[in-house]
Amino acid sequence: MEVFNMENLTYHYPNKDRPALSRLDLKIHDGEFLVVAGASGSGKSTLARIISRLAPEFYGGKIEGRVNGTRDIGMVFQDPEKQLVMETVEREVAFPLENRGVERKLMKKQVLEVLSLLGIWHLKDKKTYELSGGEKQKVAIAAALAVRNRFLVLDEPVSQLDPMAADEIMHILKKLNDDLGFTIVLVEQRTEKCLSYADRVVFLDNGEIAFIGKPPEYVKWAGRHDCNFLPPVTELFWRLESNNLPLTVKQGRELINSNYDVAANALGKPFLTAKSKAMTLKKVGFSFGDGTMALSSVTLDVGKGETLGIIGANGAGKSTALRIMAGLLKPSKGKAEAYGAVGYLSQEPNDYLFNDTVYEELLFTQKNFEKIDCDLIEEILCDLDMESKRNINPRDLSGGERQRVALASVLAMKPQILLLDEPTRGLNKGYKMRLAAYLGNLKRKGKTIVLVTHDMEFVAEVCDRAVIMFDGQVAQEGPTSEILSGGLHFTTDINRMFHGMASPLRIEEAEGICVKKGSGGP
Amino acid sequence: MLLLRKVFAMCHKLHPANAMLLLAVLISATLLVSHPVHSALLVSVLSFSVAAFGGAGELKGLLKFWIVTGIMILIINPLVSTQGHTVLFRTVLPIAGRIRITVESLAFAGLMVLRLFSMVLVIKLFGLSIDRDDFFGYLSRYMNKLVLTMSMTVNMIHRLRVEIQRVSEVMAMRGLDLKSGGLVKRTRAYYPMIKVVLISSLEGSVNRAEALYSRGYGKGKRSFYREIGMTGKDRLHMVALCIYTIVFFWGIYKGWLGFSFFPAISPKSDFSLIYFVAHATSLAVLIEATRRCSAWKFSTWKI
Repeated sequence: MEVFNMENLTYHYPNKDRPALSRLDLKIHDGEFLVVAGASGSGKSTLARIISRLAPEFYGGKIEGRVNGTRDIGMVFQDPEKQLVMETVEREVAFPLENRGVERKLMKKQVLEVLSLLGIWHLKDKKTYELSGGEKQKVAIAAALAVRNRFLVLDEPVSQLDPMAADEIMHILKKLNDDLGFTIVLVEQRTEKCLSYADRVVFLDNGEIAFIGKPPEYVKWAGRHDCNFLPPVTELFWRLESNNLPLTVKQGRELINSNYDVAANALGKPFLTAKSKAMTLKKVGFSFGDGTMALSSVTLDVGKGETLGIIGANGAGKSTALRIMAGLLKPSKGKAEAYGAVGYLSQEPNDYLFNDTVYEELLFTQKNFEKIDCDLIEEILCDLDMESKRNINPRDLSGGERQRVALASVLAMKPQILLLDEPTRGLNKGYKMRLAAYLGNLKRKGKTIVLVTHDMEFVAEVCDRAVIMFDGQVAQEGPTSEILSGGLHFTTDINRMFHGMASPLRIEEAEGICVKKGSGGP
Repeated sequence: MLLLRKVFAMCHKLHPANAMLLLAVLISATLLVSHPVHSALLVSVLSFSVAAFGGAGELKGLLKFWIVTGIMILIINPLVSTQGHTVLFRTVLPIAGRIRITVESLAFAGLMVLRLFSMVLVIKLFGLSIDRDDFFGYLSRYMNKLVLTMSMTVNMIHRLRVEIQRVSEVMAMRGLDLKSGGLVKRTRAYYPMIKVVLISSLEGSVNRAEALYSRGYGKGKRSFYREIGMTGKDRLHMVALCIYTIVFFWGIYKGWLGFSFFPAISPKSDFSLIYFVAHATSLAVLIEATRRCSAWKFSTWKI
C-alpha cells in the first residue's frame, strides 16, 4: 500500500531562483525502509521536509507538482541539541501529545509505552540537557513515536553521534521497521551504517533523483559513479571487480572465504620513532569541579612530525587530554608540556565562524598574533581548495566547507602542533579523504598532529601511532597497525572482515592481498 | 538545620500556586522592609534554605558575587548620597567635587547589600523549589505562548553557558586575549565571542522552531500531561503561607518594620521588637505546618 506519493515535484525555498528539488517522482510504500543518500547540498534534507510537510507549511516557498500523503509523520532532526524543548525526558515525550490535545490517561500510557519500547525508561526523570547525544536522539525518536505516527522521517540522525550510539539508533530503527511495520525514511550521506537495512535507496544529485532502486543495484550504480557513497567493504569488492558486492562485513567475509585466497600482509605502514618530542604528558591527572575524575596518571609522548590518533569510548578522557595538551585545562596532577606553537580545532566548526568572508576569518587569527602574512593565507586557501570561496560568508557554506574554514583559521597562526577534536564528525567520505590528504601534506611539512576521533577508518588512513584510552587512562599505545589489528571494536570494517585471515586496515592494503581463486596468484 | 532540611526537602516540588505566592511574599519581604535586623534575618534564613535544598555549592559562588558587588555598593553609595547627620569624612576631589561620607549613608548602603543578596537568594530558592516543567505546565493553561518561550529560554540558558565556554576556548586558542587590558580592550575582545554565540543562537532558534512545528505546537487545543491539583499538604502549606503573609503585611501597615536612615538612624516604631516576635512565630508556624504535612516522607529521620 502506498503511503506517500509525489509526482513531478519542484520546490523553491523563499527568495531562491534555483529549485532545491526538481521534477521528483517518488512513491513510498507502507512498512518500507527508504534510505535517501547524496552529497551535501543535494536536496536530501529538503526532500525530508517535503515528505514531513515542513516544506512548504513551515518554510514557505513555491511548490509545483502533486504531493499526496495518507499518514501523519514524525520527524527527527540531525542535531540532538536543537530539537528538545522541555526540561525532563518524560515531559519532552509528552509534549507532542499535549499539542494534539490527547486525553491525559491515554497520554500517560503512550509515554510510558514508548519509553519502554526504546529502552529509555531509566531516563524518564532526567533533565534533557544532561543526556548524551545518543540519549537525546533516542528521546527525540520517542517523542516522534509517542503520537503513534507509524511513519518516521529522520534527517541524518546519527551524523553527530559516536559509532556506538549510532549503532544503537540504527538498531532501534531496524526494530521499528521489522517488528512493528513502521515506514522509515532515513536521510544519510554515510551509507555504511544503513545500507543493509534499506529496502530501497534514493540518491539525489543537485535536487534531482539520480538513482532509485534496491541496495544491490545501488552499490553497482554508486561504484560506477562515485565510490565515496559506498561502504568500505563494498568498495573493496568493487575495486576487486567482483560480480557480487556485499553490503555487510558478514557478507564480505563469506565472499572472501568462497572466492579469494588471502596472502598474509605485513603490518601496515612502517613506523619510525621520532627523534625529538613535540609534546609530553607526565603522570597527568584531571578532575572536574564536581569531583569527577577525567584523567588519571596519563603519561604520553608525542614525537615531532608524527600523527597520533587518540581513540576510546565516550567519557574515556580523550577530549580532556586534548584540551590539556592545548593548554585550555590545567592538570590537577602531573605536568603537560608542548615544544612549539599549538593550534586547536574543536568539534564544532561553527564556533570559529563570525567574520563576513572566509579571507577575513583567516586574517582575524593572524591579527590576534600580530603576524599578518597574506602569502600564507593564499597558500592555505589554495591547499584546502577554498580559493573560490574566499569572499563568501563562511556561514553560507556547507558543513564540510565550514570545517575546512575552521581548520584554515587555525592553520593561519602557523602552529607547529595541530590538535584536532573529532575532525571528521558529520563529514562524508569524500571530504574525509580530502582532509586526510591535507593532513598528509602538513605532516610532510613537519607538523605534529594529534587527533581525537571515533572514526577508525580515518585513524588507519592518517595516523602513525594510536592510543586507546579507557576510564581516564592510557590502555594501549603503539603503531596504528598494531593497535587496530584484530580489535573487536576499535578497528576498521575491513580489518573485521579479514579477522583470522590477515590484518589489513585500509581498502588499499586489503586489495593487495586478495587473489581470486584459480587466477594463478599475484 | 535539620529541621530546615526537612521543611525544604518537602518543598522541593511546591505546588506552582504556593511557589508563586512564596516568591511574591519573599520579594516583598526583601523590598518593602527597610529594617536592617529583619533583612539580616531574611538573608540568614534564605541562605540556610538554599543550602538545605542542595545548593550549598552554588551558595559559595553567590557569596563571592555578593562580596564583590557589596564592596562596590559600600564604596559608591556613600560617595553619591551625601545625606545624614553623622559625618565621618569630608573632602573636595577634582571632578567629583565635594565629598561627604556619613554613617547614615554607609548604613543605607549596608541595607542595599543585604537586599541585593536577599533577592539573589530568593530567585535561587525559587528555582530550587519548583519542578520547572510542572510550573510552566500550570502557567501554560493561562498564558501558553509566553510560558513556552520562558521554558525554552530556561532550557537554552544551560546550553548557552556550555557554548560560551566552548567558544571562549576556541577564541583563546586563536590568540584572542579575553583577560588582560582595560575595560574598553576587554569589551572589544569579547565582541567576536558574543557574535559567534549570537549567530549560533539565531541559527539554533530556526531549528527549534522547526522542531516545535513538527511536534504540532500551536496547531490546536492543548491538553496537559500532568494534573497539578492541590493536595492536603499543599493546602496546609498555603494556609501557613497566608498566615505569614498577613502577619508580614500587618507589620508593614502598622509601620513596625519601618526604619529611617536619614537624617538619622532610628526605627520608625517602638513596637518593632514585639512585632519581630510575632513575625518569627508566624514563620515557625509555616515551618511546623509544612513539617507536619510532610512527616510521612521522612519518618526515618530524627531531630
